[in-house]
Amino acid sequence: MIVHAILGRTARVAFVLFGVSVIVFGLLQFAPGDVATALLGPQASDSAKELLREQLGLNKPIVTQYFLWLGNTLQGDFGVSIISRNTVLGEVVPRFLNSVLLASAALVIAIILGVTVGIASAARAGGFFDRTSSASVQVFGAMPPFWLGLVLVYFFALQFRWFPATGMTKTFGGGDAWDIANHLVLPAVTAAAASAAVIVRMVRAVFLEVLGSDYILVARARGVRSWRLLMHHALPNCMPHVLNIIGLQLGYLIGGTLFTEVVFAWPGIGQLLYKAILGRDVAVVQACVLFIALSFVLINLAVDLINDFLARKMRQS
Amino acid sequence: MKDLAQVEPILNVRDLRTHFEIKRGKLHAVDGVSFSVNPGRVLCIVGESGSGKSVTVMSLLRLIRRPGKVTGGTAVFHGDDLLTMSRQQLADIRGDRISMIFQNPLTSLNPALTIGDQVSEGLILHRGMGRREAQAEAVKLLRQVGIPSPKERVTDYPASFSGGMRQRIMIAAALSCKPELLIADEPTTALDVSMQAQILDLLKELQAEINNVLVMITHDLGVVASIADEVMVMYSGKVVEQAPVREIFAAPRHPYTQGLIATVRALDDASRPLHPIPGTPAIPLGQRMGCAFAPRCGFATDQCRLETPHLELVGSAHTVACHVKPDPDRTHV
Repeated sequence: MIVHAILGRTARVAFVLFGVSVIVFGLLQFAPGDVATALLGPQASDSAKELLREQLGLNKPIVTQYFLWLGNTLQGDFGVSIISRNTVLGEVVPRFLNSVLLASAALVIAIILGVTVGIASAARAGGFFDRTSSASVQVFGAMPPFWLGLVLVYFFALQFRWFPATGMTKTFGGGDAWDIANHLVLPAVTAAAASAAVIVRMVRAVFLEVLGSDYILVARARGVRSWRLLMHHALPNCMPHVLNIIGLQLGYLIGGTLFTEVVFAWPGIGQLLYKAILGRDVAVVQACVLFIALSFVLINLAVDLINDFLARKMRQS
Repeated sequence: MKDLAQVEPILNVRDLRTHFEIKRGKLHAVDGVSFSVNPGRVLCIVGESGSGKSVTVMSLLRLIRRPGKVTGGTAVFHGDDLLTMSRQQLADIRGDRISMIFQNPLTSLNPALTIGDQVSEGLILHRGMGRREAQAEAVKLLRQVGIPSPKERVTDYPASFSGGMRQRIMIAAALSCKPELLIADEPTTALDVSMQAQILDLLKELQAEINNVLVMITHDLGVVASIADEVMVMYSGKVVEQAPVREIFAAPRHPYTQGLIATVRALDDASRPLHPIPGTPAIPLGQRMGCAFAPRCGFATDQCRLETPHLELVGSAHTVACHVKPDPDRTHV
């Protein structure tokens, strides 16, 4: 049964990834200008360009080109960056890992903040804490990360000097865990803010609904109170919804991370993508988009599978 | 020999009032209800939907949610007022000395917790039992209420049980701490007929075994006849008649009670014509004047429309709130 469910989900994921690959391949086709000219420069002779086209297979029919590209990609060969002349994979992977670090930190902050504030708001709906948190959610949820980032830098980096303003390590003698963690705080908070706000709102709504159900009334009639009521009786019923919300937020979180990287000069995939777009480095753009899409799809697959598992556990005898 | 009237009641409710603040005004769901229950007795609260039966018992345990609010009265349980005691005191009583069974077994069990968790929870909270000891006790309780192979099924989730089985599980959970007072809010309404009889038998049997007090809400007079010692009839948030069960059926004095009984008799005996009570139940909204039943009552006089009737003694333990108090033989509403 479980194997069946995993296979079903995975088949759908494969279908989505096929669509992603078509779009990413299309980027190359729709990119303005001629690839051979872009690679060799405007002074190159026509025969040199023709030779390169022949080497790259650009004269072949488009479907053949797609499968050639797909074959190379599946083997990990994304081509060469026209800016750095490194292999694309060598460019993308370390940056991607830096982004994973930033996104994970942001996710942890968003979940801890979102879930605790959401539950606390629902526990005393309409109370002082609930009204305060609702107002803050409105404010922080509406802030775009590039603006919030600048505000945080102004106060916490320039005025109070608590945290560094940009980068991932100190220029000289940095790079240890403490140094990276220090650099991580402001960008992680920036990337987390909008998601945390949405999670607060959704978790609050889910909890309020569950707290209104009959079995909560029954538990109260049994003498169950406050903490146990929330954590033991309500939370397990909220878990699938909360996981779903978090799964959906991951997409925004990845997007927010990309913006944040540009603001804080965090050497991640977002910053790489930004530079690659400006430099018309198509192969790098393709690889970045593919990595982002792949992580998005796989994360959602994981969330779905966890939800399937929880629902099954509840239903099965 | 002690007279019945001198026995100290387990629960004494005086002038209980619960309001709901809704858009159209103040809804007097419970409007000055008083009653008491004595040890070892079964009290049935009868009335149509919306007459305030459920709100009355929910108010006693302070389980009313906004926009509802208990606004007055006392409910003295062993010398302490349930309505004013601290939350902690109340939580200690809930599920231990006073338990409740609800109407809908399908939504009353938590789908994310095993039935063993739910049946044993009261023992953990109120008896200080460890998890393992409480689970073992839960198996015994489940066997007692007739769950087959309880040892294997104690770790199952509610979804794998039928409605009737779930109500048995609810009963096991409610009785886990052997409460002195068990409140059952239409425990059989959501079940099919054959299941209803089984659940009622189970409740009767367990009540005799623990010798606790049972307060049961129902709108089924058949249930009343089979289980009740005392009957309290509610209409539009007020008690209209209260008497021992024999007297209610033999000599009802309130036209509403008479109407209820006439409809049931007609259902039992096909040769009798059916006498439905005309009109729809009164909604206890805003300022009220006169008897709430007057618009539907065949005996209503001008006094009924202007003056609210109060409960009066018409027998040794029989009270009725009616200006006319028509003779039961003239039963025709």
